Amino acid sequence: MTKNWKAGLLFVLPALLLYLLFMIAPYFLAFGVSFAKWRGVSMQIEFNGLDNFRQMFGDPHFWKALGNTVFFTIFAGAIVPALALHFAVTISRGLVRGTRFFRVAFFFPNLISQVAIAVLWWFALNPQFGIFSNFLRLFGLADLPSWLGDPAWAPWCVVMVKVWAATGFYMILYLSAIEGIPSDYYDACRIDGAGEWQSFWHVTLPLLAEMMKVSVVFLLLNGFGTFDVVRIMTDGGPDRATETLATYIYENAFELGKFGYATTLAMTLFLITFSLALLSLRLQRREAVEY
Amino acid sequence: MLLLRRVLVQLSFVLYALVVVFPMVWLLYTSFKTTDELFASAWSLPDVWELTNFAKAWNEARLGDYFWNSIFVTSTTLVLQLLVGAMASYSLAKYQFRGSNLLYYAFLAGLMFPIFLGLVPLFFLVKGMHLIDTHLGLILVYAASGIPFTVFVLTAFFRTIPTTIMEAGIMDGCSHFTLFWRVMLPLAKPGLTTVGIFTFIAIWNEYLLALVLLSSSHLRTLPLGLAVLQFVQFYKVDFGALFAGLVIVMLPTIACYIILQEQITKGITVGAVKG
Repeated sequence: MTKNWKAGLLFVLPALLLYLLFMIAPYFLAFGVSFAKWRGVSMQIEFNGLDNFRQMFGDPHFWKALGNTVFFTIFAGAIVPALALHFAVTISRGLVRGTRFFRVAFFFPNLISQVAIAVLWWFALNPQFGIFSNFLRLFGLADLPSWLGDPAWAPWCVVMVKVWAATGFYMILYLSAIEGIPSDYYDACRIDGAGEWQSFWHVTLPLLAEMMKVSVVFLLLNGFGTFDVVRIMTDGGPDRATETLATYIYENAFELGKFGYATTLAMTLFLITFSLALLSLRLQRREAVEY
Repeated sequence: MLLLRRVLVQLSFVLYALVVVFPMVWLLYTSFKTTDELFASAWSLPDVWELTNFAKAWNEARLGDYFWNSIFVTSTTLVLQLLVGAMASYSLAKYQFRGSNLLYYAFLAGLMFPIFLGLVPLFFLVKGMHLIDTHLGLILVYAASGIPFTVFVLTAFFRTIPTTIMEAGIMDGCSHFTLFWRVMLPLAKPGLTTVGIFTFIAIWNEYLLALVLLSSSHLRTLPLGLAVLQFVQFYKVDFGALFAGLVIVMLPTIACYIILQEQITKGITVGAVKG
């Protein structure tokens, strides 16, 4: 450690300035703006206390957007870890051939822009030339819905695309944690006559707890922030069936110019995500394991 | 019974691999088809393998311009964020001054805040600085948003480098900056590479901030250009160029992955990107 504080401070300064200006300042301003009526054109900000929040609670589009966001978060948040865990455990136990290929292939979607993923699936789900409908037609199915154009199906399509986009990342995440578990643990299990399922339940899962905790927080942040995929594939439609809080915030701010209200919505989004993240960290609190 | 289970497990992998890989393969060969061919059959291979769609996407739809915009924005962000972030991390790891610990945690807090919370104030802040609708404004915001992750990874990295190396340098009369530039930075190369790869992928693919901060069509980055193209081609009922555009957007990051596969998967363990 060096005690030259002048040099130390000089090294931090550029990063600190950038960070304060473009990250911290906007967050602090957001707290103030969410209590104001603000139509950006006039640049006049009028503080109106809790009016924005009152308006929000009476806004049916807000409740619809919140409901959809919760729907996406719950279903993607359940399917992604389940699939990822299945793949990670199977690979680590050597129960599958071609491991190298699967590891690489499953991770591919994580490298592609969400915009590109959304356009790709917008094509694939096209009722005329999309591969999804054409695949089902191979089995003689007819009268297929128009997927993204159908309010009943569109939310499920969004969940599917989110799962497609995320699973590989979580598989690698879990795999890295599982590979850190010493093999003696499994040897001990085998000697005691435990089966594949029992060793998963009593060794792998408890020792994965730390990584699970991290992944739940990631999935929460990711689910509540759902924007790109919805904006590109459906723009919140049809009939607001896939509208999320994020797309609704964007619409209010940058299409309708209701900057104050948009920030109130953003604040609500933040409070929900933050408290859920804290809650899940608390509920899953356990002693950290050291090998 | 055991055999049946093994077959089922293997099958689940093969099926999921098909679900992941086939749409991309379909995209790749369809990008050579004309729109008429596409409507005639979704599965068929193109009659002729021509680059017409790619030329159309690159020139008419201006994805060529957007490609260079993306290259410029991504590389400048990368240099700025890595330099500034490495300097800060080095100081936080190796210099002791009042409040340095607090600073470290203040930087890390940035990992927890969703981008949407500050979006509207950020827009007006950048506008107030006359940086709205400029590449510079976008680059500064990108670099700032990457600082928490950079500090998180690099501070941990610099801490592993023995302090004796520093002390030897100071004894030899190195200035603090020379020491950082000539000795510490080269030693931190593996950490810089990890951060660099993730930053490249994240910035190359970024959509929301570019959408909010850029409005002129000639400044667009690739994801923005692609989103606009989707809208335009839909009304023209001309999908060939859009398929080609998708391939153009996806190719660089996939190429990067194929070359740097090991480092990327390892990097996830170091400190996962915002998934």
